[in-house]
Amino acid sequence: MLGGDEAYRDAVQGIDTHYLALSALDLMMEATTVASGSTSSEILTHLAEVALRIKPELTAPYARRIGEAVLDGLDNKANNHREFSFDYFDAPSMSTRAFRFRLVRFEPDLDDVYRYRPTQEGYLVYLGMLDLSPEDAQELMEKMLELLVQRGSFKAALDIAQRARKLSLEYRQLIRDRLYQAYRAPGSVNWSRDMTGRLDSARDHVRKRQAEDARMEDAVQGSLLEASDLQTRISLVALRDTLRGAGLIRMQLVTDINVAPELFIEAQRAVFRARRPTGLPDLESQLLPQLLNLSAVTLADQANNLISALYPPSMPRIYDLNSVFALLLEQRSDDVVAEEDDGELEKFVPLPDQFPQALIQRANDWLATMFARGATWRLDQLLEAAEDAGMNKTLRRCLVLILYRAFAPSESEYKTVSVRLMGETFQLDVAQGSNLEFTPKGEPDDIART
Amino acid sequence: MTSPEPSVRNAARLTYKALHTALSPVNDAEYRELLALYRADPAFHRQVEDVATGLELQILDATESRGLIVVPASRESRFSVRLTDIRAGMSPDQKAALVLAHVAIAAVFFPTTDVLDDDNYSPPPSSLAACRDTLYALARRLKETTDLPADIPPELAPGWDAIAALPMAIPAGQRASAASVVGVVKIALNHMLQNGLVRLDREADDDAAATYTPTHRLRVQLRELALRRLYEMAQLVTPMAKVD
Repeated sequence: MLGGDEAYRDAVQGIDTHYLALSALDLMMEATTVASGSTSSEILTHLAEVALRIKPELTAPYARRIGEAVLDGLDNKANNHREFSFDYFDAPSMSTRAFRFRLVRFEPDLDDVYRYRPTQEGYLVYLGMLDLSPEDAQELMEKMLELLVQRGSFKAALDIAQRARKLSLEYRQLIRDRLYQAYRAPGSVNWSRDMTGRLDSARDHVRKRQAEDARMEDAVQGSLLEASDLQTRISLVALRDTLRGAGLIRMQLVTDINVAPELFIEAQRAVFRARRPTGLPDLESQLLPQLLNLSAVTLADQANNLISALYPPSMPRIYDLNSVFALLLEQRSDDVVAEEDDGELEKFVPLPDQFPQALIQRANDWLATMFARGATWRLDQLLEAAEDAGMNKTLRRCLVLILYRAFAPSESEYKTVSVRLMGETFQLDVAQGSNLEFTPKGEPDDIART
Repeated sequence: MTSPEPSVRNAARLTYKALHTALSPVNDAEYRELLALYRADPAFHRQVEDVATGLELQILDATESRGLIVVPASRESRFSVRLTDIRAGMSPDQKAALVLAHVAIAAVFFPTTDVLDDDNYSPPPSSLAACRDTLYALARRLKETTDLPADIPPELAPGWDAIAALPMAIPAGQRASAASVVGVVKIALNHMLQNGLVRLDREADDDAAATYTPTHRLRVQLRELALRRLYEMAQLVTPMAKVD
């Protein structure tokens, strides 16, 4: 639709994307005076307009695409909207640390309209790298402003006043974010503990600033009466208007703070429920915060414990009746993550035989002679005969194993005898267990059985 | 029509009906009669329990109006739903977020243990936004109030950090994606809806307008089983990140 990427690259040539990013932040900040930020379409329209002002020959679709690219950049779309992160060397701890931040937040306002607004880091980018809290920075600006007005540097004073106004915006947003959070999830906030102190200090801050502002406005008004130079008068009028603008924002903040307790009570009323002491802790106020404190790895490990308890039984898909039991008996393994380290390969050392080959041979030979006599033997009789023949314990244990092995026709070394379970037990010093009977094949008794 | 006899066949039949989570005794006469027998006849009661135990199932509740509620007896049971059945191939952070989203949804409907115990209490309908805010606002508050050591290894960072680090929503993202808070809550709600744990009581094209209410099953599963598991999980908390 927009032509090839080549054409787009040409279109972007000469566009100051840095300026566009700051301009988007500016729009969002200004929008916080009336709403809680700007919608995505407002920003895109604005950015397209600015891009067209920078480069009038741009076509509208390209201007919009540039706007989208800038907004996506601010929101880190390339990295799936994750937080930005950079590593820095922290001198006191002598280690490299990661700093994670967002420039903008895309969040719903109270009417659930998603809007962009700058984060603290967004304001920081906009206001320069002076990392002061907005309330301290405002005081600093005031002092500078006073000095500049006294010296008659009204143009510089105007610049400072405009920055101070942005700080008022940031401060108001900071307070308002906290309030909105409290309205949204009233169950998670203890008003007197979490909010009252903060709001009191905000109120105090605003009162002091308003007093300063009134003094500054008077001073500017005085200078205005005395000034005769046109340029100075223009600067002074702009300065006075900016000061009033900042005053207005603070007034809005005062209104926000004043209505806050009432709104909070209303929000609480909406989710009101009686709380009585009970056995297991409550989900919302206790378990959820505790679970949020678990490490992600623990949560992931424990996931199936919860999921299996929460969900109803799900019927496993069985395509063949034969697989029913296999399915029911199957032990399900966890979702294992393949280990990166496969460990070391070790040479396989076969286990040594329990009996030396010569000993086995001796036992077999002896048994062969016994069976060759054509008699029927019981297992215990054979073992006793072996003991009488002077065989030691190891040899007799070997005999036990050979004789039991002979119970399975496929394993038997003696094809001429058949073995059956007698149904009684024997007990000797080398072994105890079910007795077996060894009958030469072809005996009438044996034929009758088979 | 004669009433059913206590037999292994009928015990298995009742268990079979209970496994059909969509069935209700209200529209199924056989189910109703088997349930009545289960409640009245101790021998049949034991038979049904034996069948359930043999199938690695556990009976949580039996009411004539809502039927027999059975759940997998353990997480190893072939009937149990696992996280990978909901979505496969997630990172530990995403798994943690999905677990927390489930807890947040449950907390929105049943914030206190009392309302969970009170069968006469019906939770008001809630939207995706309410669940999202419960989770996100709390995660943000914990982020602000907890002084986390800067050099904490990622695998030990608490769950709220994973939630607070996620974007709230992905602009123009329609699909439920595990990469945003809204997406994770949406995955959980959708799956709970499919499995009869919540009911969609106002359908709307717009997510913001749709509202959900919990079913009796969610209440019973939470009350009889899941809440205790959650409590046990909460005891695993590592001492470095404390809640004030």
